[in-house]
Amino acid sequence: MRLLPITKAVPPSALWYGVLLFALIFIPAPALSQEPGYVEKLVHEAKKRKLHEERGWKALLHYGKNFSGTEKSKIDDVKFFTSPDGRINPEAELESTLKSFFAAETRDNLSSACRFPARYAWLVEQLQIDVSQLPTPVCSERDRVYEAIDPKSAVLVFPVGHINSPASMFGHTLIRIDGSSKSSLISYAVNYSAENTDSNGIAYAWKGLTGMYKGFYSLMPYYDKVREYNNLEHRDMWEYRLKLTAPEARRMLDHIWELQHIESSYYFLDENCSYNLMFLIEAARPELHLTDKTGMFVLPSDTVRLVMDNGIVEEVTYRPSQGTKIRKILGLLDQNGQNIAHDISFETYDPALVKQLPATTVEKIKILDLATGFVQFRYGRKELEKDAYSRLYLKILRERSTLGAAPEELYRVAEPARPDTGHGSTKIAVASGVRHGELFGELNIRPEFHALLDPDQGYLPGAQIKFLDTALRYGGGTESVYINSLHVINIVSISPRDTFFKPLSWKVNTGFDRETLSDAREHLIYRLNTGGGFAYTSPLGGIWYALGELDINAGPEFRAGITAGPGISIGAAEQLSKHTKCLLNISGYWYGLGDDRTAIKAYLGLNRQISQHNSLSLEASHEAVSSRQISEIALRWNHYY
Amino acid sequence: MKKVLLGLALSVVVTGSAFAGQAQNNVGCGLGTMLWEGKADNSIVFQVLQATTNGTSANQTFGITSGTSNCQKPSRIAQNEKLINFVQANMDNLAQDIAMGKGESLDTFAEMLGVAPGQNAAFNAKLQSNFGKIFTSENVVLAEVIDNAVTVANN
Repeated sequence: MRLLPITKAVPPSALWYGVLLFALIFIPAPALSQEPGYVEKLVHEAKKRKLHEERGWKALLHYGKNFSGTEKSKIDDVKFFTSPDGRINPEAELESTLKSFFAAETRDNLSSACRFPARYAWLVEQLQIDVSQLPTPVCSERDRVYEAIDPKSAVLVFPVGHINSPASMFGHTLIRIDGSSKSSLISYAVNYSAENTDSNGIAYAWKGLTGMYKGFYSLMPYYDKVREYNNLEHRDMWEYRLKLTAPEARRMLDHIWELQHIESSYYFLDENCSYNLMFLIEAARPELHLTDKTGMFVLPSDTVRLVMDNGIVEEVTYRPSQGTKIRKILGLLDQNGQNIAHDISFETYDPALVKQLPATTVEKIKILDLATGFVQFRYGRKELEKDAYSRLYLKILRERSTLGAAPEELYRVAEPARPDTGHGSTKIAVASGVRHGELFGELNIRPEFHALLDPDQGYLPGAQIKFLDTALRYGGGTESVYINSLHVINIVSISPRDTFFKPLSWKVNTGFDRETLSDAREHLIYRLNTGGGFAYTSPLGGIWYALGELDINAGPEFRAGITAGPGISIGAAEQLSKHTKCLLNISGYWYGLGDDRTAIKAYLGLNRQISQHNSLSLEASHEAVSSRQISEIALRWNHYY
Repeated sequence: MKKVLLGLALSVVVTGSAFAGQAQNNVGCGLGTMLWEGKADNSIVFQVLQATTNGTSANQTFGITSGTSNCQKPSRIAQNEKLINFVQANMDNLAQDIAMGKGESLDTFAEMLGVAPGQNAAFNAKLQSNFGKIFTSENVVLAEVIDNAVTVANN
């Protein structure tokens, strides 16, 4: 979709300068009954009252203390300030902003009052400015946007991760501003995102981590966002309605307007989409402190919890994705019905034949609705051309339109656990156990995010992302502290296949591990492990999977420093009860080059959730490396925050 | 059947010029506008980080209106940019909702047309049973969809 910018820079044409010159010469300055020295009086009062130190001012200019303790705005774009050193000088910025409102700017949209409506409103209120002494701004663009948006309330929207992409597991956040309409689809959404044109993963990562991308706020119809997340990416959405009044929603929009075209450095890990939205909530209600309460990593789910903790959420709505809805219908149909829907979407079954099936109307409705979803899905994946898609889509819908409406509750999707009820994304754990007959203690720190064994509540089942997962051990036959494992990144995506969805399951893990080698002793090695395979929903309701793997090890113990071997894994993840989870995995690896060994490993993990941010786990493993047998059992207390 | 009253659906005369120069280009005015540009890269590194940027190279702008300028405008309702934009962007979902006799896109469509709250069920049923008269072919464009829906509802 093409979005037309409604704001365009005024072209600096000769004509313009002519008009300007004409205006300067012939049009008298606006006849304002301005009291002499009024500006100076206001500036004096603002200084006396130290208004620039007020929270309201700081929130609007994104001032905050940096590491060295000096006050500085998080925004580095000069367009955001009226004073040349506005970024580092809140007082100078306030004075120059105040003065700018008195400057006679009669051109449409260009006056400081048009550009900075939130600052304007705040200063007028704080200093009780007599607005009759200010020039009347003409802001036609802003008026048009405000009329379209009609701000009445605001909603924090959280699209969760994609079912087969743990990469998207962090989710995303945006803010929706609702007007008077009953339908929220025609509301407008504010999004903060990085503008990037790189298609190379490594360049993308490097630039993103170092702030080389520029982030911008943008505004678009909410239906575009719903289509993007719900329909195309199959991501469920959660809508957290904020307890903001209409004047506060208006202040938020005022501030959004000030941020239009303003760029700031985008950092993936902290100053990202979610972090930057917190400024908008602070602008609406400056008493709230959100942006200074975030940690080193800011995840969308963290900000949702932060907003919840501040008591400004009044209602939460679940918006299931198209994928979720399709799976729901899939679950309501028997295999024969599923197959017919599947065949319709592949044009090997004529949808017109459905009404002759010996089935109830409701069954026929389900088949055609499922086929509709499949066709959209196939089109989204570009398996169908636009013309073929449109023809088939309408053909199915024409049949569907003859069957009436489905019963009210037929497709109701049960609400999963809300993302804010999930465990904190940072984990610290202590464990004690026995390995090969020797007692050991372990300290485990994982800065982010979620592991397969962690409680799934609020997270995607079958998905794991761990960053810098580090385990330090003491004991186990030695009298010192040592690194048992340090996984730089460890991602697993176990995604079940069914009649229609055929995702691949995969994993990638790199980092250090203590590993038993062919000399029957343990060494710290560097590992790159990756694999891919299939997963299915088990008869018990969990997931069973099988993966083919490649394991590469590096370290001084290997001939030429490196060894590699193929492997296979089979496993299961089952939810035994609401709060108890079980993981089983059996793997075999055959290393040929560099270190001839065979390793067979079996692992069983149990996790019991005690509270939202605490769980206990019991893990048992056995490995047979060449001819050596090693067993380990450990009890672990996990705390998340 | 009883007429469904549409608050906004006033017949308006549209001059011929509104139709000029559009026949050759219906891209984006009909069904299938939902197609999403493929993500640039499917590497794992890219995917991991993309999720946190929501990164697209799409216009970073304040888009109050979308690009319907190359589409024919409906003739049976007063010009309403918000409605036209909505139908253009949601035509596939709207078609599905009309065929199913209910849904959020259909509710939004009804609200924008000014269907009186008590008449929603009648409006939905009428549109559903006349699906073929609204979505006449796979080449139908948004102006026709809106005009056809208004005609059906008023019959």
